[in-house]
Amino acid sequence: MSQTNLWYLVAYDIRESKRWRRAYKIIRGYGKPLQYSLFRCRLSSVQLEQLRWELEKVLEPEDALMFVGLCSNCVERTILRNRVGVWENESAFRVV
Amino acid sequence: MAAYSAGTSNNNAAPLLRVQSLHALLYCERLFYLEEVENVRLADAAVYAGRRLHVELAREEEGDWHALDLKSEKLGLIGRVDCLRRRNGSLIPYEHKRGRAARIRTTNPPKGSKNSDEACAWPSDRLQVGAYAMLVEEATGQTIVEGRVRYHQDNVTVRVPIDPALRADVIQSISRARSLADCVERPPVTENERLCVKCSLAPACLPEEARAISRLSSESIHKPLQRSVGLKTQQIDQPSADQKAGTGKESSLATSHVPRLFPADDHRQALHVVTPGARVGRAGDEIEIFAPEQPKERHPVREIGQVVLHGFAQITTQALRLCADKEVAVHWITQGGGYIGSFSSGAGAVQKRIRQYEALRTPEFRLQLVRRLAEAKILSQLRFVLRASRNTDRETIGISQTIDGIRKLMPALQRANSVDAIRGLEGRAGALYFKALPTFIDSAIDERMKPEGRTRRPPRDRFNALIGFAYALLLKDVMSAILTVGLDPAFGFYHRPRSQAHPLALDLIELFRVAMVDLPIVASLNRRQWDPDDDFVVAGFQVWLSDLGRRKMIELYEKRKTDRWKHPVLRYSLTYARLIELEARLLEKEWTGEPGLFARMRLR
Ligand code: SF4
Repeated sequence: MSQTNLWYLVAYDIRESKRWRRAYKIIRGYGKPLQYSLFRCRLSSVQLEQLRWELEKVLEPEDALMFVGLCSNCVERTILRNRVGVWENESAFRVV
Repeated sequence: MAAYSAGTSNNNAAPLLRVQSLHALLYCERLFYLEEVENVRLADAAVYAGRRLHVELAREEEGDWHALDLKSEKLGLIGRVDCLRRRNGSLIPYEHKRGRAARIRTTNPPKGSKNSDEACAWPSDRLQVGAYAMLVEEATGQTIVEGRVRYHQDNVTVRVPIDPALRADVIQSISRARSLADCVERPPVTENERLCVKCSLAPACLPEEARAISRLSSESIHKPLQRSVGLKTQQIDQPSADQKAGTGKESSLATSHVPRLFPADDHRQALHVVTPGARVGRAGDEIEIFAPEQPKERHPVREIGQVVLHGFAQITTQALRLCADKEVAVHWITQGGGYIGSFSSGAGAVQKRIRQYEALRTPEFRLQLVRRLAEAKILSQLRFVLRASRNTDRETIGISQTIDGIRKLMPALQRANSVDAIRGLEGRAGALYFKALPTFIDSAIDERMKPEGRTRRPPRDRFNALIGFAYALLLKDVMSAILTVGLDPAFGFYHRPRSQAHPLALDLIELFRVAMVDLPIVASLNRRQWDPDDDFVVAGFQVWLSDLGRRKMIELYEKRKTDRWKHPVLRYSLTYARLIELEARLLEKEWTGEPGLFARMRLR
């Protein structure tokens, strides 16, 4: 199985605030929020399915959920066109 | 970690077999063995996709749907039936699958039907339903005549008659599983390479590497090693010549088109906490860092591969739990740059450890490993000496002597017949190497940055302070790799148990010292990256890194980890970060029936 991680934009529209908060909390463990209901996540195929499963437990049929896969070119261009600080290049480490 | 499931309830008999494991057995016997006997379990995308399906199903059936746990001592099975329904008075177990049904060509398609393919269950699904049916039978006392599999992707339900042939298949599979479980030898990799591409265990099983070993005859595996011993200067000097020399047989490995199964890099970040007084905590599934006078930071736990706590940084129990749960390693390093220890949830499979003890207690085997390790280390040192002195007059600066001195040790290394003898040779090579090191540093660099020999702890000069700290950083990564692979770090083959560091980690680290520490540090000195005043703290005879210096060294080291390196035998490239884990896995292969690839690491 391919273990490479791919970038996804995860967007959702959840009609009830309690469910919204639960979903928000779940996704925060997978990636960083870009906007109110928009995340960027780098996921392996396993993580993608895991996240979809965890969200499915929370969502109701009336809610919407979208995964937009991005290739590395898309990601680079997105980063280029952003305002600073929205989505930056990730380095392999962080020193605090 | 939770390797001992409910299946081990019966103390006297063999543990019960999970019905799902029959699925694995039919897919690949090695997969079954790795999962059920060695307890190597990696999450599989299909598992989560299956769970999602179940959430959807439960919603559709409005709470009317529940799975049933069953076990049978008689069959030796345990399993969870997706759903049990009563149709015309008889019980029918249902199994839900996400994918498509298998198709068989029907010889006489019904009139007017365009579709000449008839849906049927895949063999492994048939087997599974058969096993569930037999479990239900035993639990209820009713005879089950039929099971059903629902394939959601093409929306069909397939009937599976529970006939004597299927029952016999189930019984036979169980006994095959039992005999494999009693076997100490791991079954060979499957011949059907396509199966490996979809197999979740590929990064731990390393099928490509195992095939590489069997494809190369043992002769050609050992030849490159022998040959490099007596290498001429020019040959070592030009990596391309070295590469070309081996292409004859090895290139055949590169021609297969199966995608790389061992990931080439690790996307997860290393999080170093160096600010004094900083605290690492948890908020939901995020790692939270509070550092004095800095804004609070939050990181999704799945984006973090390791947390390194330097000096007096704190971590909460909640954060540690989260790390254990999500397989994030935690390491502690002292303010002075010494390695303290690691925390990792790793796979604690006892089978693996027993094999490791047995293998490493065999003197002949151990000697062979030690020889290879020492050879890898000395050759890396030699290559670095050659590389660093490429544009100099080796005669006048005395490097020719170093080179000759190290080369002369190589035949002795091949002949040495005790670990102590090899230790002695390695020590002599090391002494020659460290004596030559200062000459690699640009003569115009501040004198204070040059080493005066190798001093361990405490470091006596700036160069040794850098090297010492970088070794500690390397040690944490080697420890992580050992724990991830599930080996016992306390049981090594070369180093004697002495300091607080684990012998096996000290053994493995030898492969990487030159390429991951010595070379980048010398290069950074020559790029004038260090400030002898601001980056260091001098206390009497001891020299430590300042806060600033520590940050710089972490950056230098972590960046080096992302450099790619091409394996000379496997002929694919991967980052140094991943290479460490690969070497730990190849080491284990030395005693699990696929030897020959460990310690091929050489500096380019
Ligand atoms: S990677 Fe291939 S050989 Fe290894 S367990 Fe999976 S299917 Fe079997």
